[in-house]
Amino acid sequence: MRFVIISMVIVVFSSCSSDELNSDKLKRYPVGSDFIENDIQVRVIDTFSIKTGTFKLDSLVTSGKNRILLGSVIDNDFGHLTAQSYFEVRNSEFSIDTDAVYDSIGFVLNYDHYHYGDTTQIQTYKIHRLLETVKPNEGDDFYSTSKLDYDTEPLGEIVFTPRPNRDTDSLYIPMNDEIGKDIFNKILDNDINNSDDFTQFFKGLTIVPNTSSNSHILGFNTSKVTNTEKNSSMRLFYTVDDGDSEDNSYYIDFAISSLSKQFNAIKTDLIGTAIGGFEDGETIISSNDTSNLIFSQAGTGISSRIEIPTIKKLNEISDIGTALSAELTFNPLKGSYTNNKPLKDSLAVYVIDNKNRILNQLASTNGDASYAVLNQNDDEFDSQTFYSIDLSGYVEEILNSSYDLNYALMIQFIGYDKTVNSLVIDNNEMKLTVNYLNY
Amino acid sequence: MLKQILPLVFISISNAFFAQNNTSTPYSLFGLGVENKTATGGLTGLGNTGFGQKNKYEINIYNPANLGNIEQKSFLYEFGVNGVYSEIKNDDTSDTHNDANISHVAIAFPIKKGLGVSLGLLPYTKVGYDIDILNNIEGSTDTYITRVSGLGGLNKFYLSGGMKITENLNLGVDLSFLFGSIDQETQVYLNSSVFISDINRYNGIKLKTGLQYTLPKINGKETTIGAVIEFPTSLSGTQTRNSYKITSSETQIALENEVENELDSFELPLAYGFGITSLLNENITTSFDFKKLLWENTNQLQNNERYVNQDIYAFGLEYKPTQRNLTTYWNKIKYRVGFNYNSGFLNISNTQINSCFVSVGLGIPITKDKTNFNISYSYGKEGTIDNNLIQENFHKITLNLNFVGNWFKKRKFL
Repeated sequence: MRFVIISMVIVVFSSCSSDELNSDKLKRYPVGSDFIENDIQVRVIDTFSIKTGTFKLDSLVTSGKNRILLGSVIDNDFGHLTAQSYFEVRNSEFSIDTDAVYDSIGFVLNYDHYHYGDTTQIQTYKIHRLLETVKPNEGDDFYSTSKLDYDTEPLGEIVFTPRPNRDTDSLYIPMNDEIGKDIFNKILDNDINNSDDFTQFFKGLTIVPNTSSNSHILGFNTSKVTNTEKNSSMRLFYTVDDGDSEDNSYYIDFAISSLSKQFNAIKTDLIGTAIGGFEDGETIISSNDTSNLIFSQAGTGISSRIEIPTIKKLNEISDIGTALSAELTFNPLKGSYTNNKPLKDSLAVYVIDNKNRILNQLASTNGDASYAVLNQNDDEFDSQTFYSIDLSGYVEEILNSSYDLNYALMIQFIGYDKTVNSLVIDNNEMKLTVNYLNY
Repeated sequence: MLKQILPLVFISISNAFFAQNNTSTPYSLFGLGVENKTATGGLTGLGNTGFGQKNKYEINIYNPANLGNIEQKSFLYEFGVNGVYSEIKNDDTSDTHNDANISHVAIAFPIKKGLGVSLGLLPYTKVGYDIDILNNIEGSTDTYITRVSGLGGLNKFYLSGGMKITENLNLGVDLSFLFGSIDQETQVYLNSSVFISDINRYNGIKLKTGLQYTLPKINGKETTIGAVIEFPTSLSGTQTRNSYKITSSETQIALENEVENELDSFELPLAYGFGITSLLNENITTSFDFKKLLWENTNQLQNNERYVNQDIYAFGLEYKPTQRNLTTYWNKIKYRVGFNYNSGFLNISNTQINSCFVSVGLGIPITKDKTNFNISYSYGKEGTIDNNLIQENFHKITLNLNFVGNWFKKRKFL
């Protein structure tokens, strides 16, 4: 009996033993707040001195990027940029009906929708035969600065106005029948029986834009799988008259032989610009010499460099303190971006050392990549357009390191080895804002 | 058999339950927290009077001298719980809270005729508060919130003995071991969250002595005088601090890891109390108690508050229907009322945080062998809303189960 009573009491009281205070962490309890003492201080610090400049990465690997990049643009800030593409083509099938008759040859370019610059402008692409095998001088990669010898006499050309966003559209560069017939006959005569035979005879192609034009840069799909829709390839047409009236047309596609056998040569001429003085990858052109502007351009490796040397001074505030948040904000130069040269929603940020060597991509404290994110309000004054970077992971690393890390940040485009977008940053509004807590 | 197991059950359950004890009052921020004011037996219904209460069937937590009254071959054990509903307010806001706690577990038994001992475990103080502080971010017009939460409290394990020196005089002594931890967690939410978690452990020993002296009957009225002295003591404290940050990307980064600090020891003051309990007739017993705690002598440094000497006045009245009316169940019940005024020991903003309560209680017999349910209801208030202070109005139900066993007799059946 007694035990039953006790048990009941225990059950009743344990079930109603609830602590409602913890039910809502955000609910405020002002009662009592006047009497509590605590040593916690939180301050916002946004007066860090910031050293900015522009440097140029030595060279970028541009082979293996699944993109043929072609065109020519001229820009006041970034000078003259041209993109030309080199590649080896082949096919694994070398059997043609003995009754076949050669028809024509050309090169199909399928847009991958990447475009930059004024796409209403006319451009001319010329296609040339390579005179040397597509093989890097050393290593496995080609760089934006790589080049190969090619026959100055083009095999064909196209003058066109692009429609890069039209899925159904592609470019067809008709090529010289002489080379077409040559390839056709060699296959028919079994002079070419396999892809090695073919590559030995036909080393590859390069497509060269009209480099005097200020128009656009376009991207075209390329992959080594032949006959894939939307791929870019050399196409040899022939007919086989088998007596019926149906379509007797056939073709063979010669796609790139492998991703590593295609690369884009991206050249820039910076003469006449504020950033013409790069000697090597270590040269930093201070924003003091460039009207307080810094520059980033994909494809060429021109990169904005942001150095905040005094972050570590935060440790002097207190023995025990920590940054609650750290955000770097900067504005793109007004007028430097247009519909043809739009701002990207996010930019890649890398941590570099004092010699501009990339150490790692900027990461938040959990290791995830941290990007510069565009904040854009389309108001008429355009004053709300800025990028922000969560630097809390970076600041944490600097504060916790036992060394004085002379790191800086590099602002580049995501996929900067296969695009040519550019950005001009106005330093005047650049600011690091840290919420710092100490006790 | 059951009666032997029950005390063990109580102790194990209470250990489990003390961990869940919670209370919710901002005043528990100060000192060691709020004192557990629940008394044993029916004493809470009597306004927490007890110095002069002689009761051979109930444990008197206020005066160990009462243990000299315990009957031979009896065994007392008691278990108490309470539930509080409180409204906490200042001049512009109010909150309400519920909580339920174990108030004590205790046993008492005779060693020989006229000598009894008791031991028990009970919360000594309780801490429970969540306080949000709005601060400005320096260098900005923005604000942030710091939440300071306190939890825990000290427990008391006591060992007491009482002895009948003469027919009229009992003396008692109580040795209490005070131990426990008061945890304070400070949290800041601003992009990241910073948590500073302090575990403040205190422990010490406190000595109390008591006497009860029964005066010669005057006009048939029996009057007992009780007195206690609590000796000052010092509780030493250590702090373990852990602090860490959880970033906006939900990564935890340690700031301080298991940093040990010495805390200023907490001084408990010299206290003394007197009580007088009179059996006015066979139906009515009245008690009056007074206790003083000399906090000012402890000279403890405070922030915005100071400790002042504390006075407690208590009055209780018990009505017991006469023997010839015991035919109905209601006539077997003891009816109690009480009043208690406590000046408090805190002075904040030149205002002393006092408290008072009124109580009513019933002592309900359950079985013939003096086993009782003692239920009381108290209503009271603590503090004031003046001077931006806080007032707490509370409703409290206490439920004490006290059993009188016949330990040694039952033992034969084992």
